[in-house]
Amino acid sequence: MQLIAAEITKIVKSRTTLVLTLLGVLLIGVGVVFVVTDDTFTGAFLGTDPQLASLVDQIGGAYIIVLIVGALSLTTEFRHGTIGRTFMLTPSRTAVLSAKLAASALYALVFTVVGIITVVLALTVLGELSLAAIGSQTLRALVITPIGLMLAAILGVAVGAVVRSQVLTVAGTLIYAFLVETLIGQFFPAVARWLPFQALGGVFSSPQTRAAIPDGFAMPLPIGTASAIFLTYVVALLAIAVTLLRFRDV
Amino acid sequence: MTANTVLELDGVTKQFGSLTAVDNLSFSMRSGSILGFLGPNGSGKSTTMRIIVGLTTATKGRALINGVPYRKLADPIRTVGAIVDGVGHTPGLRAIDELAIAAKSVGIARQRCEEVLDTVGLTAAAGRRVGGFSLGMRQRMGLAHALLGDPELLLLDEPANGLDPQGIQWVRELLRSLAAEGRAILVSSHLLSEVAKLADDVLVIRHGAVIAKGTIAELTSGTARLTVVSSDPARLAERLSVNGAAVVRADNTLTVTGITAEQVGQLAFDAGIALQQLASSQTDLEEAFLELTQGEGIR
Repeated sequence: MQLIAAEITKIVKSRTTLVLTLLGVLLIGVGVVFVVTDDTFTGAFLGTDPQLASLVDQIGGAYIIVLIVGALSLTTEFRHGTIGRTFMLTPSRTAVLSAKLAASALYALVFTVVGIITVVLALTVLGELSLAAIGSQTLRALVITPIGLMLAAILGVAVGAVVRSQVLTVAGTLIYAFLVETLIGQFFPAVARWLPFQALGGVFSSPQTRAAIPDGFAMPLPIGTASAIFLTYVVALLAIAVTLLRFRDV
Repeated sequence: MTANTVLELDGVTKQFGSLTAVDNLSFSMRSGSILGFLGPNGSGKSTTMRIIVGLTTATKGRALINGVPYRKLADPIRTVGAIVDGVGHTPGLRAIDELAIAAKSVGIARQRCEEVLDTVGLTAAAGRRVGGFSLGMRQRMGLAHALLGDPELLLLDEPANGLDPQGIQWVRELLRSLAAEGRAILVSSHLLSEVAKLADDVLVIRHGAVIAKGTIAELTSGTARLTVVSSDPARLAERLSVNGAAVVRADNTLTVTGITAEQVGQLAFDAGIALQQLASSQTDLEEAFLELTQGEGIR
């Protein structure tokens, strides 16, 4: 627990975490405004259960924030050379990795709460706050979102452990998530939905969000399949991360 | 391994591809001793220290602290404190916070962080971000981290690097007081005069292998330079050369190395040569080091 507490403090004390969290709030806020005010994809906003669920999906849509925070928990240490001190303090590298996973997952939970607050505040500002319609779809989204975000944070830690370079990790993740997978989605939509971030998109997609996907774009995998596929990627990358971290010199 | 042996390296070898960074290195340290660890740039000193604390894995051999590898120590931070090359600081954190996070991870109270900051003279800078520290202040922070667990063995790679003369003197006195408390200290430094003032023993490595070890007196005595003035310098020079000395002649004066003054006196007496002057000028550690490492430079 001491080690986890220390890792949580590292995340909390980082100014980058604060900046990224604020960026996440902005992304979620813009997403909410878009869903509420734009009738093109989701129809007029009436505050129905499916529409509220699609608002919660906006929190999951900011998965890249928690993924990067997770990755930075390791790459920052490699960048500044503090990983050596961390491993001198706690020679069990598996224990250090586990603590970073726990701390990053906890950050994902906190980010979910911050996201929910952002959604509520945005709806209040827009004069559309009505929680009376919350139903099974919204509740399902509220359960799925933190789980998906925690898995994204864990994937981030694993990517950071494998790549080590902060610039490569952040730039590579952004390019892969938003360019490579998007391009593959354009040309090979049937293949694309099996890729990590498309699968994660499937985890966060409520029926309302799926209904809003324009023709020609790949339909996400069903939530169960998407969750299983993304979890497989997380476990596989984590296994590589553990192996590399244990046996590579730092 | 004797009862008070704190650190023992046994045949430690580290290869990076075809490069042998550390080559069958063996030595040990006892409690309360200060061992100067010297070698030219790239001789394997830092790699050796990283192997001792488990950051780098030895290709062969083993490094044991109190009989066990670092990674298996029950309480590593209270056993070993280290300043290791390549281990840095988080620039965005305040000094006290960086120490407090390290302390928190191993269950050390925050009060101890304040104590070590005071020990290294950084109390006034406790609230400042480490990123704004000078090189000397970062070195003091490194020492604070090393002392956090009040360890019995200190591994210090260039601890005086970046310090001003007062700071260097302060480090020397601090390390002496720490050794007097019974701690073993392995210290590498490019300030050879400092090592000479500080260390009980010296270990010199080159290309990762030990080329000399012993007390500073032992290391420097083998390279004492003798000035000899005699009645027959040509014949004496020949006698000395035959007996393994290196001799340089300038008129009646011979400069002799590689042989003791007693041996010179005996050889001159045996040959019936009168000595008008026989003086020994002791070489210092730096000269001995350069001779041992064949002028490869100092790290």
